[in-house]
Amino acid sequence: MASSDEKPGPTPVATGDKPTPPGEPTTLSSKILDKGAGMMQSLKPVKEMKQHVCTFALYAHDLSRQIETHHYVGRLNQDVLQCAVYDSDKRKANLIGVEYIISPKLYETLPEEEQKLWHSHAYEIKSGLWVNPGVPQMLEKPELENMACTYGKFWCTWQVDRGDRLPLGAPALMFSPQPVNRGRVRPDLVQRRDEKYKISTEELRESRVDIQEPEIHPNADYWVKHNKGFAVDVKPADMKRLAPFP
Amino acid sequence: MHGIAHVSESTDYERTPPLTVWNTGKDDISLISIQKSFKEAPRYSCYHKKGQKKGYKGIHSVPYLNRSMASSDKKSGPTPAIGPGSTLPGKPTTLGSKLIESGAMMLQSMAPVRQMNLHACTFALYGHDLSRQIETHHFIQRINQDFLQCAVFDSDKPSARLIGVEYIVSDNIFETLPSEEQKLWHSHAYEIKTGLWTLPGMPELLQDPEHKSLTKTYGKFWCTWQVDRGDRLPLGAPSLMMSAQAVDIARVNPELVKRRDRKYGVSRGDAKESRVEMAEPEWINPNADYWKQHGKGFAIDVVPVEMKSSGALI
Repeated sequence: MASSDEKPGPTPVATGDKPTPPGEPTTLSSKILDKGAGMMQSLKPVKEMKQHVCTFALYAHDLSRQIETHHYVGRLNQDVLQCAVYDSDKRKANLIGVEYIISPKLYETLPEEEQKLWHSHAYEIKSGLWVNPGVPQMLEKPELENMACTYGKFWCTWQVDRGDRLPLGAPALMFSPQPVNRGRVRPDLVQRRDEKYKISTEELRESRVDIQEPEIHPNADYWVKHNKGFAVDVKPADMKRLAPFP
Repeated sequence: MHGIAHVSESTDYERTPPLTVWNTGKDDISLISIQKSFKEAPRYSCYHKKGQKKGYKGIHSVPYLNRSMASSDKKSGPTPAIGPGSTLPGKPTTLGSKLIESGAMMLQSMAPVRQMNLHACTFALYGHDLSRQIETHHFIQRINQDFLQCAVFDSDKPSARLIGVEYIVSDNIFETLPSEEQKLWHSHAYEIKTGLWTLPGMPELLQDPEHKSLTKTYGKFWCTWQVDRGDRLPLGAPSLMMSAQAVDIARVNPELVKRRDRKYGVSRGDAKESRVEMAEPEWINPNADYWKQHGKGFAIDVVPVEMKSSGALI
C-alpha cells in the first residue's frame, strides 16, 4: 500500500483521457437537494478559494510521472496559502490533493526533517510553467514575485495519471519542476496546456525574466542534491484499547 | 508493551536494512514499521547519517532520517511551527494581495470549487489513535450517484484551515475495490444514524434524503494538517482517519458533540431519534473499519528512496 506501488490490482478500466469515477448519473432528487443546500448553507471556507493556478507537478518517488495540476488557492494570511488541487478546471474535475504554500520566513521555522518534504516555486514561476489562466500578465506580476520565493508541500491523494478511476492507495508526495534534466516537464504536456489556454510558456518565461531569483533553502527540493525521492507507506499499527472516557 | 529497536550495523546512507521500532509513549503505542517488501526492484531506506554511532540508544533518540515524519508521531519538538493556541503564524493579508485576489476572481471561472455546495459537520478519529478526535467540516461535491469528493476543513469560518480530503463511495462501488484498498476505508452508518453527522443550516426533514443514501456509503479520509495536536503549520505525513463506531474506544467524546450542537443550535439526541426509522445497511463489509476486527490502525510513514538516473524509483 505504498504511494509508489504500481496500480494496485485490476480495477474498472479507464475510458478516455481522464479517468472518471464509476457510478450511476446523479439523480434529479440529489441535484435538487444540492441546490437547496446551496441556498441554505454559507460555504465560507470554499468561497475563500479565490485564485486558479495551472501548473505541473512531479511524483516524489518517480519524477518521470508528471501531471498538469489546477490549484484553487485560498490565502490564510500573507505567509500561508492552502490549495485544493484538481486534475482539470472543469466542473467535474477530480479532487486529487492538497497543497500548502508558505513564505520563506515560515519555511525557516520548520524542523529540518519537515523541510525535506517541501519544494521551491522559483523555477516553475520564472519558467512560465505556473500560470493564472485568464489573468493578464500585468495583474499577476506582483503576486508572482511573492510566490516565487515560497515553498510548497503537496500531497496527491488520487493518482489519476496512472488511470485510477477511484482514489487508491496511500497519498503520494509531489515535487515541483526544477532546472535539472529529470526535473523538467515533458514538452508535450506543456504544449497541450498552452494550446488549451492559448498561451505560450516560452513568452511567459521571457516576460518574467526580471523576477528576482530567490536563494533557495538547501533542504527544499531534496532530491536535487541527494538523489533520493520519498515514498509514502501505510502500515498496520497497534492501537490503544481502553476507552478514553466513560 | 516494551520498546525494542534493532538498528542497522551500517552507518552509510545506502543499503540500510529495514528498521522496526516500537515507540512507547506514555499514552499510546504505535508500531512504526519500515519493513520493505515491495514487488518492484529493491529499494533502500536510509536511517543514519554517516558517522553516527551504531547501536540502540533508546527509543526516543533513535536517529533515523524520517523519525519525525510518521503521521502517528507526537508533535515534533518545540518550534514556532507548533505553538500554544495553534494560531496561524505569519502576517495579516496585505491590501495588495486582497486586490489581486478580487481581480483574479472576476476573471477566472473557479468551476471545480463552486461545485462543493454541500456542507456537512461531523467527527473523525485518527486511525492510529482513536482517542484523538476532531470536529470536521466537509464541503462536498457529488460527482455521480455513487461517488462524492470532499475538501475537509477544521471550521466553517473564512479562516478555516484545509485539513484534508475525503472520498465517499456507494456500497456497490466499494465492493469493486481490491481487498487491501478496502482496509483504508470506513463506514458511515453509525455516525449518520446517531446524529453525529449533520448538514448545518438545513432542517432535519430536508437532510433526510441525503442521509438515506449516505448511510450505506464508505469513506476514505486523509488528514494533511493535524491541528488538534497544536500544529500551527501542516507537519509530517498525512494521517488516515476513521469514523465513529458503536464500540467504546470509538465513541465521540460527548463534550465535543455538545460544543458542536451548541454552535449550531441542534441536538444530536433529537437527530438520532428522528433517524431511528432510517434503514441501516444490511451488511457492512468487514474490511472497512479495519481496526474493529483486527485491533490495528494504520500509520503512515514517509521514507526516502533511491532514484534512478531517469528519475524513476529503482
